[in-house]
Amino acid sequence: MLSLKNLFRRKVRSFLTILGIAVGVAGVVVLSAFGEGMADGFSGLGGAANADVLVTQKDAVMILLGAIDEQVGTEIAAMRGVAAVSGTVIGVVPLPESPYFLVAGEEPRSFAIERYRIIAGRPLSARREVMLGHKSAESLKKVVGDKFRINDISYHVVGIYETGASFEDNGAVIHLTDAQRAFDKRRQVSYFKLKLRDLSEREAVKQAIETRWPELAATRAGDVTAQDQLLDIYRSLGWVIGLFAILVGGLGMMNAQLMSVFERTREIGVLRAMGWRRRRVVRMILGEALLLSLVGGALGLLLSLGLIRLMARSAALGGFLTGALEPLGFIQALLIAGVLGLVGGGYPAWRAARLAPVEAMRAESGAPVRWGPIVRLLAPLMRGPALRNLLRRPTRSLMTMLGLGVGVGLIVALAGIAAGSRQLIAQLLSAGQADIVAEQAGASDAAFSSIDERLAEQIRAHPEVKSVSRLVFGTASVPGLPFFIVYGLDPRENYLAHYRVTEGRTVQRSGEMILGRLAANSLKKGVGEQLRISGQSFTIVGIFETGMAYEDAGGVVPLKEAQRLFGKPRQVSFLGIALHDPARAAEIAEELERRYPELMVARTADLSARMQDFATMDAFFGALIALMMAVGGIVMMNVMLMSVFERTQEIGVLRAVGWRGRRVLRMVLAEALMLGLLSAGAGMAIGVGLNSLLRFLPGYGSWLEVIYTPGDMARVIAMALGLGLLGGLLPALRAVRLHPIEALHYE
Amino acid sequence: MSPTAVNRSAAGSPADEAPVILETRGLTRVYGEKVPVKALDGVDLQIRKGEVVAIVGPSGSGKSTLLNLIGALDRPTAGEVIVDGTPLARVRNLDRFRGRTIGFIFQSHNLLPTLTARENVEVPMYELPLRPAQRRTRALELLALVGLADRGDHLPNQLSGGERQRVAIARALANSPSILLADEPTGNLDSKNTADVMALLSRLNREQGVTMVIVTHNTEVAAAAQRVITFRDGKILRDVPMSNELERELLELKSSPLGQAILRGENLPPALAELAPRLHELLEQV
Repeated sequence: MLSLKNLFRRKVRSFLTILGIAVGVAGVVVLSAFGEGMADGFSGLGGAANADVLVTQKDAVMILLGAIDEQVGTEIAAMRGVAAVSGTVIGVVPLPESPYFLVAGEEPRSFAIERYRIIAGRPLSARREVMLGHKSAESLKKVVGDKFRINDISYHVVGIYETGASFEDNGAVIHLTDAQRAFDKRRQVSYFKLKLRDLSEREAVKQAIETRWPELAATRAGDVTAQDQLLDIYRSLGWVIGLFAILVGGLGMMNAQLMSVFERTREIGVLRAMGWRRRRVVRMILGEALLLSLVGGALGLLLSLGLIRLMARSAALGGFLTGALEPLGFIQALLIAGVLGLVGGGYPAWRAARLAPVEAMRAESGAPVRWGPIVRLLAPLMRGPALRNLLRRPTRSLMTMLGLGVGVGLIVALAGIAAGSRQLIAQLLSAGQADIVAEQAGASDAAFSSIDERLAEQIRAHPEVKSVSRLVFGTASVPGLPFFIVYGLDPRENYLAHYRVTEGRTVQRSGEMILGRLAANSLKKGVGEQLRISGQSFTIVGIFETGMAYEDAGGVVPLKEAQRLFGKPRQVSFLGIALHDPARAAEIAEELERRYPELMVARTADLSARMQDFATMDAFFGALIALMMAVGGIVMMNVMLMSVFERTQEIGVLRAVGWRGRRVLRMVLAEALMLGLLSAGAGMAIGVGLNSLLRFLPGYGSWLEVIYTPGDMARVIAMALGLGLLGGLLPALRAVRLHPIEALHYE
Repeated sequence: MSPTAVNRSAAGSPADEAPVILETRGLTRVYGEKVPVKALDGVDLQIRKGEVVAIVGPSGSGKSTLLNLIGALDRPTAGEVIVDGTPLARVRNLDRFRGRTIGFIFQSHNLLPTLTARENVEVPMYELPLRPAQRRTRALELLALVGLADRGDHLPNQLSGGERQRVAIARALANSPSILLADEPTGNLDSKNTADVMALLSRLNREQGVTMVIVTHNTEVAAAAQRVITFRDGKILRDVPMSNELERELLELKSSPLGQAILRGENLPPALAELAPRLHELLEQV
């Protein structure tokens, strides 16, 4: 088979191409398995597997944040066709080892407890007892009989269970009443699970429940719910990154295949002269590309399997991964590899087929230079052998630039969005006036933060503190909007002034709200009208404008009502603290943190660096950069190796005319670094372009706040130079090691 | 020391009193370990400043090995090379030495295709402490010297074969080398360009006093030299100074169709048939 033989001709290149594909595929598979696991975990639906019907709060963005009165359960139990009802409270407890430790509160005598298969000890039977998932028991090194602390209360470990759902196996189960207390859901549950007398009555029961309580959703466990829209974002994460990996890897692969066609120009001419039809040439080149990509895909699959196994063992990440590859991941890997092969082989195959036999046979071997008018114009700008060499194969340099640029661009775009959202959250939480902001210590997400509101009084008493504002913050879904952020503020406190009312008046008493301009426009609501949020009706008394999309697309309600909406009685999400002397902010933040260990207190400027939300984002970011560096480094190395290979003879000449090894090394490295720098430039353009395109996205576009900080850009440039160094060093050393005489006679 | 400063009296004819610029003593190079092949076997050789020496011989006779060794591209197995009074064995940085003492001309021009003619000439100067402007001026001077003053901004593929080789010669002269080594400098050229290149090399020798060692198959090229050294099996077979016209004429005869016919022992016109054995013997010797 000719394709196979051709691949063996340049083993290093084939190997690097395969490796590049493998790393890309593995990255995508692992990241999307991660996104999938994250979505499953946040949906909190794992525990509903043995229920016939699930009752959730319709407007809660995540079930985790839902709160339904217990009383509703009693009424449902009395409905016709319902055999049993069991309420569950789900909460997230940040542990040092795991920021998303899921704790479920279950009634020990209910059917819900049956699905936890006990593998050690006994099932939960009383309060102050806890069952641990077998994975969390392993990673936290707990056995039956040990003590386990959740939110400062000690529990007795009575059993170890297994369900097969990774979030549960990495979590814990406590008594429902304990959970209600621990997560401030007194007489409330996150959702109800129902057992029916007869499954054929399912539709009737669902209808009856939704008619009686319009704010609730009754679904079959596993059905699509409104919440899934948000979860889809997590799920699509892997695919979005996959798209970029395909672009980076595909361009790298196209480059390698194109080089292989170039250096075989004469051979292809001979094949055509001997009677091969274009189609056969295309088939040969495409065959090579597909072979490479499939081997790369298979290798990537193995790599991701290993990675997933490894990550599933760690306490922090284990909850998101089952440790096994879903069939979806399998299909995904093969699909990406196949697309890579077609993309990477298609263009080179077309170029090969287009070669005229007579001309192809006359082609010089080595590295002839043919410049068009554009390159001719560029040449005087690129001085010296290193830079000029980038123009030897303008297509290759351009493709490398684009390929790496797409990777760098993704990072630039995300860095811009990340910096933007950091600033947004700081502005949002400080309302442009607080010098210090306090959050619950260790809260893994801003929406999970809850602080006892009495702390506000205590902090107000501090002599340096001018004022304290309480903020309850949460998302609700309102029909017609992708996202609706509700800000709960006390009308007597300073924060409300930040929401400048341009129409009507501001919030004064309960049952009133003011609506952001963007929200008002898209909902077509005006002053005097009513708006239902999570089943509760509010009168719109004013329209505000702050200029920030996050605020202007939301609404402000009185603090007490927000607490009720989000199931946070006497709790607030954040405290905004203004000082008499803002210059002393850092010092006072530290002092408050010492005095109230349950709080994370930070200067507004440092806030985003301290919040756990961003730690998760940063970790994801780090993984992405590592992935791009790996794929980009391989692409760069491949290109530079080719560039050194085809110039073997020239390098011999340089050595013969007296160039020292060091100078040859410097020349090759300079070329690689320059290529890296050009890619960084291309990447910045692509990233900025991408973000400006995103702004036009209906619905989400206006939410986007993008900031390009000099620090981020410097990091991107450093990364690109790192790519150059990473990819250029080995080829450069190879060039230096060439013996002048052998190099001179290299064909 | 710059070759342009060489005593001009030596130019034109190899003066016996000119100093020895290149010397080899018992130069031996063995390739391979299991089956050793002696590419060069105890070669003693002296070349004086200003000489133009042609090295001829069948392929595999050791010509290129000799050139690699005296060009400091390779280290000998035994024996030594002394260039301009410096034994190469004592040179620690051969690259730098090569760059400053030796100029190379290759069979195919071996110019960097991405660089213009002028930039190509500048390449060896990177190792010299010259500012870019100085490099540029010097490169243009050298291009003028080889008659390509107006071709500085052309890429190699915009030049003819003869022009490319002339750029290569200018490049070889860039660092004012003591010796110019040429390996089949006209191997890829037609007869018109061969004549041009040889005329240039002769002129450089005459006007600049450049010492040249030329490996060649071409008898016309060899005829232009002042001394012809014939190699066979790694040893010097003959070392003939071409100082007298007779020998020069004979060598030219040897390269002509008539000379070839005599050497092949073909039937000659009756007028010549009588002389043939004697001519054959003479031609064999040159």
